[in-house]
Order: sequence, then structure tokens, then C-alpha cells
Amino acid sequence: MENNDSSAKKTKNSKSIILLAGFSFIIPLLLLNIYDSSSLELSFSDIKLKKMTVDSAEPALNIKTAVKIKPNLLKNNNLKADSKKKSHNNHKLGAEKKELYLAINLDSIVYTKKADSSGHRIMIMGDSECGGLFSVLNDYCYQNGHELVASLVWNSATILNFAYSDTVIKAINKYEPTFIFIVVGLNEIYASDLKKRKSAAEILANKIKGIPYAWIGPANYAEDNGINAAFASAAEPGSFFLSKDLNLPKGQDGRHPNSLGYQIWMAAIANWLETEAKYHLEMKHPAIRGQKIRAKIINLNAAKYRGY
Amino acid sequence: MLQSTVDINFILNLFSAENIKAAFSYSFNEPWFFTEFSFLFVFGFFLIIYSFIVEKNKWKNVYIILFSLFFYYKSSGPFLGLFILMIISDYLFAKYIANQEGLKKKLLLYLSLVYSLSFLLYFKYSDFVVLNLNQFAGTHFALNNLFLPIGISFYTFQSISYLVDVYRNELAPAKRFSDYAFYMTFFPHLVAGPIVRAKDFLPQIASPNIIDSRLYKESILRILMGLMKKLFIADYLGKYVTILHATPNGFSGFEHFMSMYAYSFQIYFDFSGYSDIAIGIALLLGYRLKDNFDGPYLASNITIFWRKWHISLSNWLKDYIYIPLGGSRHGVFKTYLFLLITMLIGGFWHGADWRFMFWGLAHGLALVLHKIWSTYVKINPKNMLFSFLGVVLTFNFVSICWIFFRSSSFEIAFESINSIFTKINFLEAYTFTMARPEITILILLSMLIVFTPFKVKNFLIEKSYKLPAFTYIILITLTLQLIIQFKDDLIQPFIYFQF
Repeated sequence: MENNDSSAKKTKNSKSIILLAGFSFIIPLLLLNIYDSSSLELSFSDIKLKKMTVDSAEPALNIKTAVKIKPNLLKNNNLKADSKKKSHNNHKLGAEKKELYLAINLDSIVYTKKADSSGHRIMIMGDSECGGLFSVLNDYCYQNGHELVASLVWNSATILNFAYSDTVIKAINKYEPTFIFIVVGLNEIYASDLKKRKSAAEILANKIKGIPYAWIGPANYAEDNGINAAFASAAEPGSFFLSKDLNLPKGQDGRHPNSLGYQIWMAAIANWLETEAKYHLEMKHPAIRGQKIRAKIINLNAAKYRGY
Repeated sequence: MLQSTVDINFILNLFSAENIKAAFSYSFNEPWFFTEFSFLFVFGFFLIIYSFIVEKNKWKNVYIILFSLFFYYKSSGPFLGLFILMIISDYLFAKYIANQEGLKKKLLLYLSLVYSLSFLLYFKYSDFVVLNLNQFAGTHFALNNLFLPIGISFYTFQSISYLVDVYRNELAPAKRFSDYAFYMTFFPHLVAGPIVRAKDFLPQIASPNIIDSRLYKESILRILMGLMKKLFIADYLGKYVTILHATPNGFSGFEHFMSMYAYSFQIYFDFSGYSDIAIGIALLLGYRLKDNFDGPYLASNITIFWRKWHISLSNWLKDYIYIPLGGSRHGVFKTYLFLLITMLIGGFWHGADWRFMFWGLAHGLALVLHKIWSTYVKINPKNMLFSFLGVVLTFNFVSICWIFFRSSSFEIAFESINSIFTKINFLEAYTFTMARPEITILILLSMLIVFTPFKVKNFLIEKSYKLPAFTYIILITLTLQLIIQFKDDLIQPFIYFQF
């Protein structure tokens, strides 16, 4: 009898404990939600309490963002590539860039105060090559006072995904970029339905009309069937960067550039933006790389999400 | 005063038709993890309903199974169908195996194993085979680019252990389908382990632990520790490691050196954090899962390390691969060979890539070397100096091996190791701490947590059990706010989800 009583008591107690456990998760999350939806701004000894859904434009932890580098490195940094001679000088350019990047190490860095950025809000979007390029672009943004606000990496995507979905418009509305990088084409270098691709490219160009952009052609390692020409004709004159002649080191899969390849690619794009592109964008080579990525990274996969 | 500043519509929005629909739908881009606040919120409601049916064992089990299936659907979407198919077929296979004798029994076991493994092999390894055929045999097969169903490596190993245990007569097949379904689907261990054995878990289904105040505190502390390990330490260290591995050739030897340690701590805190959350959640429901980590970085040799790291996998490999191969029953040479094979398979289980095989081989060789060493050199385990040197050596060996685990190619891995051994300049330590103070602090904090003796940790945990139960709500609030305070834009999925 006593055992039964004790067992019943334990069960009752157990029920209340589980109930408490349930509320232990709900109450804190409700409180955080209330704070999130309120206009209250709480601080604790000068530290502002962040909200759950706050768009964290500022880094979670302070990382020094601007640097000075030794004069000899600055000299190297001013390498300009003459795009007309690009295909002849690729090997040389590659070697110079490699040397440049290997030369940058902590010894060469003198830290200064964080630069006050009044530059562009930059968004980059594209296929898997965009996934390799955005972190390098991020360093350029830091160096030049721009802010990389979003990176839309749509793996396995083609121009059709970008043209026939509302993803691009939604991203533009949300992140309000003042400059856009488009990196698309690797998955359609052998496409033969060029008419269809060209009209899709025109749709995309119309979608982003009004916002300065740089349309970067795919860094393909084989001759394409004309996709570069199709994109170039759809983009505004002077806004399309032909990447196919660059001699970029390959990654292990043989399809994408490796990390050095992405750096060289970005360096060439930066030179083009500074010298020849329709929309001029300050793009000095970064003195320090591997800066904290503050941009919203949106990862999509066309195999699972076509967008249209 | 407060009311005027709070948008009360948020409660309506929280339960709006759109949100409710989203809550019950699978999103490829936002799969459910334990670290999602939306999961924790729903889990709170799950517990409230659970408290009303906790004494009705049958209903309680059905309720947990349904929630587990829902959890898997939120994590893996349409692959739920595949998972259910596997559960039904393995349950039936085990029934048949138990009723057969001799050759027929053996053939049934092989058939069931081939069947269970076929899903894993197809989803995880078919592209690897195609890629290598194309590369070495000059074929031109197209890659499938398959999406790996989350947790398939874990639940396939669970189902194999169940089938083999039934075959060996070490375990009677589950009497009811619901019992087997409960064991396989139990959501705390479903997607990333620990790999729970049926013989350990099935007996608990009928008589789970009664939740008392102490169990509640233990569970909440485990969950909070797991969240902190994952979201506060591992994710932040991960950011640094990712940056370095994205462009490795521009970083100095010292940066590579620090990145090696950063990744060692990242993977430990990531996976042990996940295990802590899983164990904590299971405990809140009355079920105790075995610990998956036991201070592995305190191991003074590689053999001990493997007894303390991912314990459920190490034991599984030992019981279902190493011992069936022959274990130590066929002489010294074959023992070493079986060890190497086991570790190679263990490496390959982690990923369809030669790097993982290499990683497994390196550990296998280290285990063999340690066996040879211990045959000839006898060291008193109580000798503090040798123990310390052993810990340092083992930790550094394990850390170097992790580079192959983390790098996206051999090229990057060797580049990183080359930088560490040929380009390191320890005078950069000061520059590094100035340039990356947060990473320095986090690495030091990680070292403090990892290398603090268990006695001290247990003392602190015991102290916190003395806090009144309601204070745990405050503790949860503070922890979640701390996570929000330091969280990054992108919460990284658990590393072991991909395996």
C-alpha cells in the first residue's frame, strides 16, 4: 500500500517536472520573441542586448577591418592587367598574383582603426563559382569601404533559374544592393539552346535594370557553345566580363578554379572594374584576406529548388 | 508602459496560418536541427502534452514515434518514406532470421545486410565510384549529385547491429513493431547518433526512468552545455577555419598552426555538443543514452583516444567489423591487419572521399604502432610526466590528422601541413593575438574546458544541481540570449550530419 502511494506520488511529481520542462523552453523563447517584436532596446552595462531576428549588420565580435601594408606590397597591388593582352599574359599574371598573395602575411600588416565605409552595398549572386568567389570579393569590399550585404549561391543553377524565379527580385528588395555581381554560366557552357538562354539573360538584365552591375562570365576550362556571347549581348555594354580566357588554376574536381584561381579571377575582375567597366567601382586589391563575412549567405541548390 | 512598446500582434503572427503551415512543412533550406529555436519552441509544447500521457506507456510511445517521424520529415523531407521502408523491412528480416537455422539463417542475414547497406552505398558512395571510374578507367558516366538523406549512416549502422545481434541470438527480435519503430525513430539519436544498440535501448522502452527534479536539472544542463558548445564555440571557430581553408596559400605557418587547433576544438565541440543535446533531450523523456565522448583529448595514447572519441561508433566498429574479421585471435600480424581494415572502413564511413580513407589509415597505423610500442615498452600509467607527454603527443597527432578531415582536397591538406612544419614563426603569436583576439580567447577557453580535470567539472555540475528548479528557466533564458548575442548570420549545420 505504502509502495503504491509512493509510486503514485513519484508519477505525479514526474508529470509536474515534465510540465515544468516544457515551460522551461516555452517561457524563455516567448520572452525573447516579445523582446524581438517590441521597440524596447535593453542594454546591460553598455552592451546592447541583441534581438533574435535582428539583421546583424555589425559583426558579432570586433574584428579589425582596415590595414596598411608595406609600400612594396602596395606597389605590387597596383598591378593592372591589360585585358587585350590578358590571354597572352595569363601565366605571368598568375605567377605575379601568386607571389603577391604569398607575400602577404601578418608581418606586413600594420593595423589601423576600422575604416568608415560609405561605399556600395554589394550583392553577389550566381552558381557554384559564385560560392568560391564571394569570400574573395568580401576582402575587396573590406579594403575599399564597400559592404558585401548578401551572397546568393545557387548551386547547379543556370540563367533560367535566375530569370524565371522571383528569387532575385526578393533578394534585391530585401538587401537593397547598390551594386550587383552576377556569376553564372558554368552549368550551361555546352548549352545549344542559345536563343532561349539569351532571352532568359535579357529577362535577368531587365530585372536588375537601374542597379549598376558586373556580369561575370563563367571561368570555363573548355570552349563554350556561345553562352558567353549570349550573356554579353544581353548585358549592358561594358558590364560583361569575359572570364573564359583567364588561365586559372583548377580545383580538384577539374571544373572549378581552386582557391588561388578564385583570387586571381577576382583580381582580374577588380582590375577591369577599376579601368574598363561601364560602372566604375573602387576595387583596390586587399591587403588582408580572410575577413569576417558579414553578408547574408543564401545557399540554394537547383537540383532541389528550381525557383520556377 | 511595456505594453505600449510591444507589438502584441506578434502572438497572432506566431500562430498565423502561414507560420503554422511552415511549421508543418519541410524546407530544404531550413532543415530542423536541435539548435533551431523553432525546434526548441515546438519541443516545449511537445513536453507539455507528453506530461499528460507519460504514465500511459502505449500512448506515450506512439506519441514519441509520431513526433520522431515528424522531426525526421522536418530534417530530411521526402526521405522519410525511405526511412520507414527500412524500418519495416528490417523488422521483418529480423523476425525471419530469428525463426531460421543454419545456412538459411545465414543467407537471410546476408540478404538483409545487403539490402540495408544498399541504400547507404547508393546515396553516399555511388558518385564516388563514378568519379573514380571516370578518372582511372576513362569512362564518362554522369554524376548523380545525390542528396544524402540525413542520418542514413547512423540508422543504417543501428539496423545492422540489430540484425546481427538477432542472428547471433544475443537479442530476441522486438515483439511488437512499435517497439522496433520506437528504437529506430527515437528522435534524439536519429540524425547524428549516438549509435544506440537495440539490446541497450529496447529494455528501456517498457520501463523508462521516472523524471525527477535531479534528472530535469541534469537534462537541462546537458542541453544548455550542448547549445553553448555548438553555437558559441564550434560555430565561431568554424568561421575562422573556413576562411583559412578557402584560401590557404595566403596564410602564414602560424595561422595554419592555430587553425589546426581551432578545427580540433571545433569538431569536438560540434559533435560532443550535439551528443550532449541528444542525451539531454532523451533524458527529459526518461531514456538514458550512453555517453559518446569521455574527455578524448585527455587520452595519453591513441588507443585510449579511440575508447573516448565517438564511443558508440568505436564500439560498433569493434563489435561488428574488427571482431568478426578475427580480432586478435589469429596472431599478431593479422591483428594489425584487421585493425587497419577496421579503421579504413571507419574512415570511409565518414565520407566518400580518399581523404577520409587516408585519415582512417593514419589512425589505423598509429593504433598498430602503439600496440607494437606497448609490447616492448612498459610505462607506468601513473607516471605524470609520461602521461603528460602522451597527452600532448596524442592530441597533436589527432589534430594533424583532422586537417585531412577538414580540407577539401589532399592538395590543401598537405599545403597546410607544409606551412605548419616549414613556415611557422612563433614570434607571430603576438601579432596573431592582436589580429584575432576572439579566436585566441576561444582557443584558450576551449583548452580550459577540454583539459580541465573531470573532478573539477563534476564539482561545478554538482553545485549547479543545488539551484532550485525554477532558476533553470532563468538559466535557459540567459543562455539563449548569450547565443543570440554572439550568433553569426549563418549557423552551420552539425558536422556529423553530413556523415
